[in-house]
Amino acid sequence: MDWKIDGDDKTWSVRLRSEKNNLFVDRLQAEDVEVNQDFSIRYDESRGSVIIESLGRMYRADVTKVGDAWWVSLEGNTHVVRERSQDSTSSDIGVGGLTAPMPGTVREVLVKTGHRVREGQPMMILEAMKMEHQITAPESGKVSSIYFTEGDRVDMGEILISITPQDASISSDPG
Amino acid sequence: MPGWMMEATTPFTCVLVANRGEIAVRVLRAVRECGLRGVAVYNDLDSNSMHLDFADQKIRLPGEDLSSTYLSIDAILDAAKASGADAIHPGYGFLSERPEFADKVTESGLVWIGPSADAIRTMGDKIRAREAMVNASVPVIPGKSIEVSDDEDPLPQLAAAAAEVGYPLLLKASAGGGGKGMRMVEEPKRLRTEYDAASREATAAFGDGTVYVERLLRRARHIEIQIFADRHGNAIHLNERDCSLQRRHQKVIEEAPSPAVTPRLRSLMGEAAVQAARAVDYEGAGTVEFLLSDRDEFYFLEMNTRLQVEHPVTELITGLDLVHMQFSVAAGLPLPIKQAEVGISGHAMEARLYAEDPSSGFLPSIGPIARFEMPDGPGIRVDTGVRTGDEVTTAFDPMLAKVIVHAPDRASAIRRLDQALSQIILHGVRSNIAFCREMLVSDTFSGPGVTTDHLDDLDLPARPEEPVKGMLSVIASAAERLGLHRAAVTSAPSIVDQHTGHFGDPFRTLSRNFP
Repeated sequence: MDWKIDGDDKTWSVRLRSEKNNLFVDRLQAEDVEVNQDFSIRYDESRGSVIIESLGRMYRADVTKVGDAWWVSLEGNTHVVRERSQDSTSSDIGVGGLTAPMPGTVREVLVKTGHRVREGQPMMILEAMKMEHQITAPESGKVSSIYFTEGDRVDMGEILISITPQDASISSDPG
Repeated sequence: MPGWMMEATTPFTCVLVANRGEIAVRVLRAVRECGLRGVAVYNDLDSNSMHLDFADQKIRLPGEDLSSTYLSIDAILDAAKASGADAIHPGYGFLSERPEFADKVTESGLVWIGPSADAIRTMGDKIRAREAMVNASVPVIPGKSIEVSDDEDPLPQLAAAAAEVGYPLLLKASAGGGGKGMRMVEEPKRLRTEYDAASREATAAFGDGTVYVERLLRRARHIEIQIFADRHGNAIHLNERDCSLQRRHQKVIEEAPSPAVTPRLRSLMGEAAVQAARAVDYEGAGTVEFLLSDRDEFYFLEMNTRLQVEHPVTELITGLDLVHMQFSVAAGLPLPIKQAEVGISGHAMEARLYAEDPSSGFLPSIGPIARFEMPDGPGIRVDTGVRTGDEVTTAFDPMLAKVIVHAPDRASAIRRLDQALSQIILHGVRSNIAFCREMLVSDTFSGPGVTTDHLDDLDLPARPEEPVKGMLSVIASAAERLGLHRAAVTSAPSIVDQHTGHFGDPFRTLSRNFP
């Protein structure tokens, strides 16, 4: 199975084999690099945890599936491991598209279509949970589209603003 | 009527808690322990919320928006009438610092568990509070107030005040609080942007638009003194809390006692805080916030005329139940202890657990709480208002729980809190747990040198190492193969303590002793 861990770009592939009551790792790969490490895994029903033995140490992981992601608590940290399906080639929503990081209301639009913006420049203010969040330009460029105006409700993941990156606009203008 | 209330001049038997979430749970627990009846209120987004399980009766506040439910004085008073409650505890936030609410509660013939409307009014207005403090000889920070009207550009006025006070400065909406409606301005050219943001936040959250300009003291500590006063002229302080570990002016980790406060400084600040309380004829629990400079000068910041979020750390080091004391004072009884009897036992520390994502700029993280398991063990207390199956939405504050520990000294409190945080299982929403742990073990925090600037300087927690990532993908594959997504999520069977409603161990209640 192929996985992606939040905060990491690599795809991890795992092949398991079952022997008696334990699972063992047949193959573990990070992209094209094979990882040679022994794992033995079993399920502790009384606590609902997964027990992993590796390199002479025992680890206990608590897991919950939420949607298509496994939430894993391991050694006091929580990670999100997502199944990487065959068809999803890129998780990005269009180059230069800025998406709403949470549902909220557009408080203010600070730029206009055609404006040049510098990396880090505030472009829009969203409000949610009584707090304000600035949407800043991820890179320098030209504002090509603004999809919302003040007072609009936006859902998480909706594209707010598009930017044509600076180098792209330069290359389109050979003069 | 419970025995402890026999001598009361304004007795009550049924408390309506005009709040929700962890503080409603906390107060309703105390209501039961004190032998009183508890009434919970809820709006249409809260019909299944945890605080309702701790009440003897629940009253619906029809509607979904805050202004017609938790923020509606009339709706709360109607609920009190319908339930037969004879006292109201406001919790924190919502209506807790609205003088007209205190007035109306009293006018309706109910007992108001809080200070007088006049005290709330004076302290809630940063300008009047400052004047009152100056008159009471409590030291204050350089600052100026600006009256803002809708039809006039406030900038010239603001710029003049800012120049007088000096940069860097803080803009505060007079009716703000909890970091909302408060902006830092480094230089004159940022003044307008930050002003606009501050006034918008204040209007959205509180419904007022006056602005206060105050000099920002860098490298200062945020020290607050818990005070208590009764109707018989007694006023005491219950030591300090150190809330210096803040991120963008929101408290993250709080502790008592403060590593920066010597016994001499404690008694000076304590006296100043009592002085502040006396200046407004204060009654009940209150907190006087000070900024403490690195030269041990302290300045009055503001007074919170209510119970604080972080009150448990004071409870743990003093062994007092502040909510029970609030009940006593509201019933007209004298304070149960004298200043000389207030001690400090060990060290207490609290972390606020927020549903937010440190890796994407601390944005609120919304979604289902697919699994939430609390830490337990000696010296660990958890105050929460959510459980597995609840949902984090944008409708309410993203604070999920407070994890509070008590240990013999500061170093062991840090270790205990770190351990407690590492035990939490929270799946479905992101949280600041890793961030809090990172803070706790940082050199700056474990030494005495933390200041309110600290968190803004700090790096984000490191991403997982390669071997961990390998293991995580192995775990996910195994979980899938074992069919664990179909298994009902159960933890080790735990026993509910009948007395407190806590799961698990009896240690949790041992460190609290009820006067």
